[in-house]
Amino acid sequence: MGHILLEETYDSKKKDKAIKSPTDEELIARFQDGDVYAFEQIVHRYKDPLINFIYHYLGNRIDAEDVIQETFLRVYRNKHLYRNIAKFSTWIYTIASNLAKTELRRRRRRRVLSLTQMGYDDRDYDLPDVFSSPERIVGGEMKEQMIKEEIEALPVKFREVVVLRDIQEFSYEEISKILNIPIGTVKSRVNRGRLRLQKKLKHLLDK
Amino acid sequence: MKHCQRFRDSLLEYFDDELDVQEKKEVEQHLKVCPHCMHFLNQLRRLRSHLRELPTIKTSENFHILVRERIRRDLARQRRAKQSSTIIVRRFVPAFGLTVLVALVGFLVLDHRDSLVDKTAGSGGGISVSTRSDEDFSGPIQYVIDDIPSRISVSRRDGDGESRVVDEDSVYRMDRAEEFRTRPTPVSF
Repeated sequence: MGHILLEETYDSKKKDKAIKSPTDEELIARFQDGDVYAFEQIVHRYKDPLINFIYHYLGNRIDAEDVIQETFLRVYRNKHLYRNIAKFSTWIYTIASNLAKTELRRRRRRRVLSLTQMGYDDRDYDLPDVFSSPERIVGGEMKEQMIKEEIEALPVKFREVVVLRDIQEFSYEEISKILNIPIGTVKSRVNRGRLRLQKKLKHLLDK
Repeated sequence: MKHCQRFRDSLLEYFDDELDVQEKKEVEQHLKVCPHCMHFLNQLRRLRSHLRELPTIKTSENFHILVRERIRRDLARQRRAKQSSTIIVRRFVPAFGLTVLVALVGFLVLDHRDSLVDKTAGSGGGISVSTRSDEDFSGPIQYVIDDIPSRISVSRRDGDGESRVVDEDSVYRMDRAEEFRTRPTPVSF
Protein backbone atom coordinates (compact mmCIF):
# COMPACT_ATOMS: atom_id res chain seq x y z
CA MET A 1 0.00 0.00 0.00
CA GLY A 2 2.74 2.33 1.05
CA HIS A 3 4.64 1.41 -2.06
CA ILE A 4 1.72 2.42 -4.29
CA LEU A 5 1.36 5.75 -2.48
CA LEU A 6 5.02 6.51 -3.03
CA GLU A 7 4.68 5.76 -6.72
CA GLU A 8 1.61 7.99 -6.97
CA THR A 9 3.44 10.87 -5.28
CA TYR A 10 6.37 10.42 -7.64
CA ASP A 11 4.04 10.46 -10.66
CA SER A 12 2.24 13.60 -9.51
CA LYS A 13 5.58 15.33 -8.94
CA LYS A 14 6.61 14.39 -12.45
CA LYS A 15 3.32 15.75 -13.80
CA ASP A 16 3.78 19.00 -11.83
CA LYS A 17 7.24 19.43 -13.26
CA ALA A 18 5.95 18.85 -16.78
CA ILE A 19 3.10 21.33 -16.31
CA LYS A 20 5.22 23.97 -14.57
CA SER A 21 6.65 26.27 -17.18
CA PRO A 22 10.43 26.57 -17.16
CA THR A 23 12.02 29.62 -15.58
CA ASP A 24 13.74 32.25 -17.72
CA GLU A 25 17.10 31.02 -16.48
CA GLU A 26 16.26 27.45 -17.48
CA LEU A 27 15.19 28.62 -20.93
CA ILE A 28 18.35 30.60 -21.58
CA ALA A 29 20.45 27.65 -20.33
CA ARG A 30 18.66 25.40 -22.81
CA PHE A 31 19.18 27.95 -25.55
CA GLN A 32 22.88 28.14 -24.68
CA ASP A 33 22.95 24.38 -25.21
CA GLY A 34 21.55 24.86 -28.72
CA ASP A 35 17.78 24.53 -28.15
CA VAL A 36 16.30 27.15 -30.52
CA TYR A 37 12.78 26.39 -29.31
CA ALA A 38 13.81 27.77 -25.90
CA PHE A 39 14.73 31.04 -27.64
CA GLU A 40 11.29 31.14 -29.27
CA GLN A 41 9.75 30.79 -25.81
CA ILE A 42 11.89 33.66 -24.50
CA VAL A 43 10.68 35.85 -27.38
CA HIS A 44 7.09 34.88 -26.65
CA ARG A 45 7.49 35.63 -22.94
CA TYR A 46 9.26 38.97 -23.21
CA LYS A 47 8.03 40.63 -26.40
CA ASP A 48 5.02 42.36 -24.81
CA PRO A 49 6.53 43.44 -21.45
CA LEU A 50 9.52 44.83 -23.32
CA ILE A 51 7.50 46.78 -25.85
CA ASN A 52 5.49 48.35 -23.02
CA PHE A 53 8.72 49.46 -21.39
CA ILE A 54 10.39 50.73 -24.57
CA TYR A 55 7.24 52.39 -25.86
CA HIS A 56 7.31 54.76 -22.87
CA TYR A 57 10.95 55.46 -23.64
CA LEU A 58 10.45 56.31 -27.30
CA GLY A 59 6.75 57.18 -27.50
CA ASN A 60 6.55 55.47 -30.87
CA ARG A 61 5.31 51.96 -31.49
CA ILE A 62 7.26 51.30 -34.70
CA ASP A 63 10.57 52.43 -33.22
CA ALA A 64 9.83 50.51 -30.02
CA GLU A 65 9.17 47.32 -31.99
CA ASP A 66 12.37 47.82 -33.94
CA VAL A 67 14.33 48.17 -30.68
CA ILE A 68 12.73 44.99 -29.30
CA GLN A 69 13.62 43.04 -32.44
CA GLU A 70 17.19 44.26 -32.10
CA THR A 71 17.13 43.26 -28.40
CA PHE A 72 16.20 39.68 -29.31
CA LEU A 73 18.85 39.63 -32.01
CA ARG A 74 21.45 40.69 -29.41
CA VAL A 75 20.24 37.97 -27.05
CA TYR A 76 20.53 35.44 -29.89
CA ARG A 77 23.96 36.64 -30.91
CA ASN A 78 25.38 37.02 -27.38
CA LYS A 79 23.67 34.16 -25.58
CA HIS A 80 27.06 32.87 -24.39
CA LEU A 81 27.61 36.17 -22.50
CA TYR A 82 24.74 35.54 -20.09
CA ARG A 83 25.87 34.10 -16.78
CA ASN A 84 23.46 32.65 -14.26
CA ILE A 85 24.57 35.09 -11.56
CA ALA A 86 21.96 37.67 -12.54
CA LYS A 87 18.28 37.33 -13.33
CA PHE A 88 17.60 36.89 -17.03
CA SER A 89 14.92 39.61 -16.92
CA THR A 90 17.50 42.11 -15.60
CA TRP A 91 19.87 41.19 -18.43
CA ILE A 92 17.34 41.50 -21.24
CA TYR A 93 15.89 44.75 -19.85
CA THR A 94 19.41 46.20 -19.64
CA ILE A 95 20.00 45.37 -23.32
CA ALA A 96 16.65 46.89 -24.31
CA SER A 97 17.11 50.08 -22.30
CA ASN A 98 20.62 50.60 -23.68
CA LEU A 99 19.33 50.22 -27.23
CA ALA A 100 16.46 52.62 -26.50
CA LYS A 101 18.91 55.20 -25.14
CA THR A 102 21.03 54.84 -28.28
CA GLU A 103 17.90 55.43 -30.37
CA LEU A 104 17.07 58.55 -28.32
CA ARG A 105 20.60 59.91 -28.85
CA ARG A 106 20.33 59.25 -32.59
CA ARG A 107 17.02 61.10 -32.69
CA ARG A 108 18.49 64.06 -30.82
CA ARG A 109 21.38 64.27 -33.32
CA ARG A 110 18.96 64.01 -36.23
CA ARG A 111 16.78 66.77 -34.75
CA VAL A 112 19.77 69.09 -34.27
CA LEU A 113 20.90 68.39 -37.83
CA SER A 114 17.48 69.00 -39.37
CA LEU A 115 17.07 72.27 -37.44
CA THR A 116 20.49 73.55 -38.48
CA GLN A 117 19.82 72.58 -42.10
CA MET A 118 16.49 74.40 -42.06
CA GLY A 119 16.36 77.57 -44.14
CA TYR A 120 15.07 80.93 -42.88
CA ASP A 121 11.70 80.50 -44.63
CA ASP A 122 11.23 77.05 -43.19
CA ARG A 123 11.40 78.14 -39.57
CA ASP A 124 7.75 79.12 -39.23
CA TYR A 125 6.06 75.75 -38.94
CA ASP A 126 3.27 74.07 -37.01
CA LEU A 127 3.23 70.58 -35.67
CA PRO A 128 -0.06 68.78 -36.25
CA ASP A 129 -1.93 68.11 -33.02
CA VAL A 130 -2.58 64.44 -33.59
CA PHE A 131 -3.58 63.74 -30.01
CA SER A 132 -6.53 66.08 -29.65
CA SER A 133 -8.55 64.92 -32.64
CA PRO A 134 -12.28 64.52 -31.79
CA GLU A 135 -12.11 60.75 -32.28
CA ARG A 136 -9.49 60.47 -29.62
CA ILE A 137 -11.18 62.58 -26.98
CA VAL A 138 -13.64 59.92 -25.95
CA GLY A 139 -14.15 58.57 -22.44
CA GLY A 140 -11.03 57.39 -20.66
CA GLU A 141 -8.89 57.62 -23.79
CA MET A 142 -8.21 61.28 -23.20
CA LYS A 143 -7.15 60.61 -19.63
CA GLU A 144 -4.81 57.87 -20.78
CA GLN A 145 -3.43 60.13 -23.47
CA MET A 146 -2.76 62.88 -20.92
CA ILE A 147 -0.93 60.47 -18.64
CA LYS A 148 1.13 59.11 -21.55
CA GLU A 149 2.04 62.60 -22.66
CA GLU A 150 3.14 63.57 -19.15
CA ILE A 151 5.25 60.42 -18.85
CA GLU A 152 6.90 61.22 -22.17
CA ALA A 153 7.48 64.80 -21.06
CA LEU A 154 9.53 63.60 -18.08
CA PRO A 155 13.31 63.68 -18.44
CA VAL A 156 14.60 60.21 -19.44
CA LYS A 157 16.27 59.59 -16.08
CA PHE A 158 12.93 59.99 -14.26
CA ARG A 159 10.84 58.39 -16.97
CA GLU A 160 12.75 55.11 -17.07
CA VAL A 161 12.62 54.53 -13.31
CA VAL A 162 8.95 55.48 -12.98
CA VAL A 163 8.01 53.12 -15.82
CA LEU A 164 10.07 50.28 -14.37
CA ARG A 165 8.77 50.82 -10.84
CA ASP A 166 5.13 51.85 -11.24
CA ILE A 167 4.18 50.25 -14.56
CA GLN A 168 6.47 47.24 -14.87
CA GLU A 169 6.54 46.68 -11.07
CA PHE A 170 10.24 45.94 -10.70
CA SER A 171 11.86 46.15 -7.27
CA TYR A 172 14.31 48.97 -6.53
CA GLU A 173 17.14 46.45 -6.51
CA GLU A 174 16.24 45.11 -9.95
CA ILE A 175 15.96 48.64 -11.38
CA SER A 176 19.35 49.43 -9.91
CA LYS A 177 20.82 46.43 -11.76
CA ILE A 178 19.03 47.12 -15.03
CA LEU A 179 20.13 50.74 -15.19
CA ASN A 180 23.43 50.20 -13.41
CA ILE A 181 22.86 52.99 -10.85
CA PRO A 182 22.82 52.86 -7.02
CA ILE A 183 19.57 51.95 -5.24
CA GLY A 184 19.55 55.31 -3.46
CA THR A 185 19.63 57.11 -6.81
CA VAL A 186 16.80 54.90 -8.10
CA LYS A 187 14.63 55.74 -5.07
CA SER A 188 15.28 59.44 -5.29
CA ARG A 189 14.60 59.49 -9.06
CA VAL A 190 11.39 57.49 -8.66
CA ASN A 191 10.16 59.89 -6.02
CA ARG A 192 11.10 62.98 -8.00
CA GLY A 193 9.47 61.54 -11.11
CA ARG A 194 6.30 60.71 -9.20
CA LEU A 195 6.15 64.18 -7.66
CA ARG A 196 6.50 65.78 -11.09
CA LEU A 197 3.72 63.61 -12.49
CA GLN A 198 1.58 64.30 -9.44
CA LYS A 199 2.00 68.02 -10.00
CA LYS A 200 1.25 67.86 -13.73
CA LEU A 201 -1.72 65.53 -13.35
CA LYS A 202 -3.12 67.25 -10.25
CA HIS A 203 -6.49 67.96 -11.88
CA LEU A 204 -6.82 64.29 -12.76
CA LEU A 205 -5.76 62.96 -9.39
CA ASP A 206 -8.00 65.29 -7.36
CA LYS A 207 -11.16 64.00 -9.03
CA MET B 1 2.97 72.06 7.04
CA LYS B 2 6.46 72.28 8.51
CA HIS B 3 5.53 69.36 10.68
CA CYS B 4 4.48 67.41 7.53
CA GLN B 5 7.80 68.06 5.77
CA ARG B 6 9.43 65.71 8.26
CA PHE B 7 7.08 62.94 7.12
CA ARG B 8 7.28 63.59 3.39
CA ASP B 9 10.19 61.21 2.73
CA SER B 10 8.79 58.67 5.15
CA LEU B 11 5.47 58.87 3.32
CA LEU B 12 7.13 57.95 0.02
CA GLU B 13 8.83 55.01 1.70
CA TYR B 14 5.57 54.08 3.41
CA PHE B 15 3.92 54.13 0.00
CA ASP B 16 6.59 51.72 -1.29
CA ASP B 17 6.29 49.56 1.83
CA GLU B 18 9.94 50.13 2.64
CA LEU B 19 9.59 51.07 6.32
CA ASP B 20 10.09 48.87 9.35
CA VAL B 21 7.20 48.19 11.75
CA GLN B 22 8.01 51.05 14.14
CA GLU B 23 8.41 53.67 11.39
CA LYS B 24 5.26 52.44 9.72
CA LYS B 25 3.31 52.94 12.98
CA GLU B 26 4.64 56.48 13.33
CA VAL B 27 3.56 57.41 9.80
CA GLU B 28 0.14 55.85 10.31
CA GLN B 29 -0.30 57.84 13.54
CA HIS B 30 0.58 61.01 11.66
CA LEU B 31 -1.80 60.20 8.79
CA LYS B 32 -4.69 59.96 11.25
CA VAL B 33 -4.23 63.56 12.29
CA CYS B 34 -2.92 65.18 9.09
CA PRO B 35 -5.32 65.59 6.16
CA HIS B 36 -2.54 67.14 3.98
CA CYS B 37 -0.38 64.06 4.19
CA MET B 38 -3.38 61.79 3.76
CA HIS B 39 -4.30 63.72 0.60
CA PHE B 40 -0.71 63.46 -0.65
CA LEU B 41 -0.69 59.71 -0.05
CA ASN B 42 -4.04 59.26 -1.79
CA GLN B 43 -2.78 61.18 -4.80
CA LEU B 44 0.24 58.89 -4.96
CA ARG B 45 -2.02 55.85 -4.80
CA ARG B 46 -4.26 57.22 -7.54
CA LEU B 47 -1.26 58.03 -9.71
CA ARG B 48 0.07 54.49 -9.38
CA SER B 49 -3.31 52.94 -10.17
CA HIS B 50 -3.63 55.21 -13.25
CA LEU B 51 -0.17 54.18 -14.40
CA ARG B 52 -0.92 50.50 -13.94
CA GLU B 53 -4.24 50.84 -15.73
CA LEU B 54 -2.64 52.26 -18.84
CA PRO B 55 -3.55 50.03 -21.79
CA THR B 56 -0.79 47.61 -22.66
CA ILE B 57 0.68 47.59 -26.11
CA LYS B 58 1.12 44.39 -28.04
CA THR B 59 3.75 43.62 -30.62
CA SER B 60 2.59 43.05 -34.18
CA GLU B 61 1.12 39.69 -35.19
CA ASN B 62 4.13 38.71 -37.27
CA PHE B 63 6.66 39.73 -34.62
CA HIS B 64 8.18 36.24 -34.34
CA ILE B 65 8.65 36.11 -38.11
CA LEU B 66 10.28 39.55 -38.11
CA VAL B 67 12.70 38.50 -35.35
CA ARG B 68 13.55 35.29 -37.21
CA GLU B 69 14.08 37.25 -40.44
CA ARG B 70 16.35 39.71 -38.64
CA ILE B 71 18.41 36.87 -37.17
CA ARG B 72 18.62 35.18 -40.58
CA ARG B 73 19.85 38.42 -42.20
CA ASP B 74 22.40 38.89 -39.42
CA LEU B 75 23.70 35.33 -39.80
CA ALA B 76 23.97 35.81 -43.59
CA ARG B 77 25.87 39.08 -43.06
CA GLN B 78 28.25 37.38 -40.62
CA ARG B 79 28.82 34.56 -43.13
CA ARG B 80 29.61 37.10 -45.88
CA ALA B 81 32.02 38.96 -43.58
CA LYS B 82 33.72 35.68 -42.73
CA GLN B 83 33.99 34.76 -46.41
CA SER B 84 35.50 38.13 -47.34
CA SER B 85 38.03 37.83 -44.52
CA THR B 86 38.86 34.31 -45.79
CA ILE B 87 39.40 35.77 -49.29
CA ILE B 88 41.77 38.34 -47.81
CA VAL B 89 43.64 35.61 -45.98
CA ARG B 90 43.72 33.32 -49.02
CA ARG B 91 44.66 35.86 -51.68
CA PHE B 92 46.29 38.92 -50.22
CA VAL B 93 48.39 37.35 -47.51
CA PRO B 94 50.20 34.94 -49.91
CA ALA B 95 50.65 37.77 -52.44
CA PHE B 96 52.12 39.98 -49.76
CA GLY B 97 54.32 37.14 -48.52
CA LEU B 98 55.55 36.49 -52.05
CA THR B 99 56.39 40.19 -52.53
CA VAL B 100 58.34 40.22 -49.29
CA LEU B 101 60.15 37.02 -50.31
CA VAL B 102 61.10 38.45 -53.75
CA ALA B 103 62.34 41.66 -52.13
CA LEU B 104 64.37 39.66 -49.63
CA VAL B 105 65.92 37.45 -52.30
CA GLY B 106 66.71 40.52 -54.42
CA PHE B 107 68.36 42.21 -51.48
CA LEU B 108 70.40 39.11 -50.68
CA VAL B 109 71.55 38.75 -54.32
CA LEU B 110 72.62 42.40 -54.49
CA ASP B 111 74.36 42.15 -51.15
CA HIS B 112 76.23 39.03 -52.30
CA ARG B 113 77.36 40.75 -55.53
CA ASP B 114 78.63 43.77 -53.57
CA SER B 115 80.63 41.55 -51.29
CA LEU B 116 82.20 39.83 -54.35
CA VAL B 117 83.24 43.25 -55.74
CA ASP B 118 84.68 44.20 -52.36
CA LYS B 119 86.76 41.02 -52.28
CA THR B 120 88.13 41.75 -55.77
CA ALA B 121 88.86 45.33 -54.73
CA GLY B 122 91.11 44.31 -51.86
CA SER B 123 91.07 44.66 -48.16
CA GLY B 124 89.23 47.31 -46.20
CA GLY B 125 85.72 48.65 -46.57
CA GLY B 126 84.19 51.87 -47.73
CA ILE B 127 84.53 53.36 -51.16
CA SER B 128 86.04 51.08 -53.72
CA VAL B 129 87.53 51.96 -57.07
CA SER B 130 86.71 49.63 -59.86
CA THR B 131 89.53 48.16 -61.95
CA ARG B 132 87.44 48.60 -65.08
CA SER B 133 88.93 52.06 -65.62
CA ASP B 134 92.38 50.48 -65.80
CA GLU B 135 91.64 49.29 -69.30
CA ASP B 136 91.48 52.91 -70.50
CA PHE B 137 95.17 53.38 -69.85
CA SER B 138 97.83 51.92 -72.03
CA GLY B 139 100.78 52.40 -69.72
CA PRO B 140 101.43 51.34 -66.17
CA ILE B 141 98.95 52.98 -63.80
CA GLN B 142 99.42 54.17 -60.29
CA TYR B 143 96.82 55.30 -57.86
CA VAL B 144 97.72 58.17 -55.63
CA ILE B 145 95.84 58.68 -52.45
CA ASP B 146 95.53 62.03 -50.80
CA ASP B 147 95.84 62.62 -47.07
CA ILE B 148 92.16 63.33 -47.32
CA PRO B 149 90.92 59.99 -48.64
CA SER B 150 87.99 61.51 -50.47
CA ARG B 151 90.27 62.80 -53.22
CA ILE B 152 92.10 60.57 -55.62
CA SER B 153 94.16 61.42 -58.61
CA VAL B 154 95.08 58.88 -61.21
CA SER B 155 98.39 59.33 -62.97
CA ARG B 156 100.15 57.41 -65.69
CA ARG B 157 103.87 56.91 -65.80
CA ASP B 158 105.47 57.54 -69.17
CA GLY B 159 108.31 55.57 -70.70
CA ASP B 160 110.93 58.02 -69.27
CA GLY B 161 109.59 57.52 -65.77
CA GLU B 162 107.74 60.87 -65.60
CA SER B 163 104.35 60.83 -63.87
CA ARG B 164 101.42 62.66 -65.46
CA VAL B 165 97.94 63.23 -64.03
CA VAL B 166 95.36 61.82 -66.41
CA ASP B 167 92.25 62.46 -64.34
CA GLU B 168 91.65 66.22 -64.58
CA ASP B 169 88.84 66.23 -62.05
CA SER B 170 90.94 64.90 -59.25
CA VAL B 171 93.40 67.47 -58.05
CA TYR B 172 96.44 66.29 -56.19
CA ARG B 173 99.79 67.64 -55.12
CA MET B 174 102.21 65.83 -57.37
CA ASP B 175 105.19 66.35 -55.11
CA ARG B 176 103.73 63.93 -52.57
CA ALA B 177 102.74 61.36 -55.11
CA GLU B 178 105.85 59.30 -54.63
CA GLU B 179 105.00 58.66 -51.02
CA PHE B 180 101.81 56.94 -52.06
CA ARG B 181 103.02 55.06 -55.05
CA THR B 182 101.29 51.78 -55.10
CA ARG B 183 100.84 48.81 -57.30
CA PRO B 184 98.28 49.32 -60.08
CA THR B 185 95.55 47.63 -58.13
CA PRO B 186 92.22 49.09 -57.05
CA VAL B 187 92.25 51.02 -53.85
CA SER B 188 89.50 51.17 -51.36
CA PHE B 189 88.98 53.25 -48.25
